Amino acid sequence: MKILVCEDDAMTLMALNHRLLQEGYEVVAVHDGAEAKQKLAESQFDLLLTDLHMPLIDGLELIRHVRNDLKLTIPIVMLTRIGAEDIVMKAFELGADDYVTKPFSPNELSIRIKRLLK
Amino acid sequence: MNYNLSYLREISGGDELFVKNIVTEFVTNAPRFLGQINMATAKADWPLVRSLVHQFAPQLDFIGMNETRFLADQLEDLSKNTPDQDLASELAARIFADCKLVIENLKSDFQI
Repeated sequence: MKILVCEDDAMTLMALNHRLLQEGYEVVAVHDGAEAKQKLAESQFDLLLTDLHMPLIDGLELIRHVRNDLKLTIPIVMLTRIGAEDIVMKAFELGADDYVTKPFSPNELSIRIKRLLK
Repeated sequence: MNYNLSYLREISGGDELFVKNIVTEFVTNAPRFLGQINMATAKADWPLVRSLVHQFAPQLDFIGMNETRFLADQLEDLSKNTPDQDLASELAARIFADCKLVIENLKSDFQI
């Protein structure tokens, strides 16, 4: 299973990449929405894991692009800080499937991803 | 002020090299962020302070600096409006001092 991870914080991206690789996923890790768009145009993924707060192209725009422009139905999991309810609701409206709060619990992340990839 | 790597070790799944890589990332990058935060605070450039603190704060979670993370959240919230310069400067100075001490400890403990 191939996962595209989009997160602008370098340390969080390293942690997500490490954890998902340990669980046997193929991971493509990118730092911003523009790079994520490029990767989505180049190859197929089984799941998108994206931060919502990013400079330039944010997570909401990325989710909109995946659902409206590319017409992809892959599961989308958001990464967001506790208390960001407004933006989470917007992301659900745009077609996101689930979310994980940061700092993320590795076990929770694992279960949520497995559930969506069943 | 000290650090707590229990969360980082939970994520690592027992991979100590990964723990050291994250610690090295923090030791390398934190001084740059802290310098920029101090400079932006001194210039009362609150949108920049907010942006920098927002980018930097998650690193404190990985290093287990919970009290400092609380100070960073306070500074980020404060900088949403036009804050009291003295209070913002005090918060920035406390974050800087905490991180400086922890960086020294991490360098010593991990022989970085």
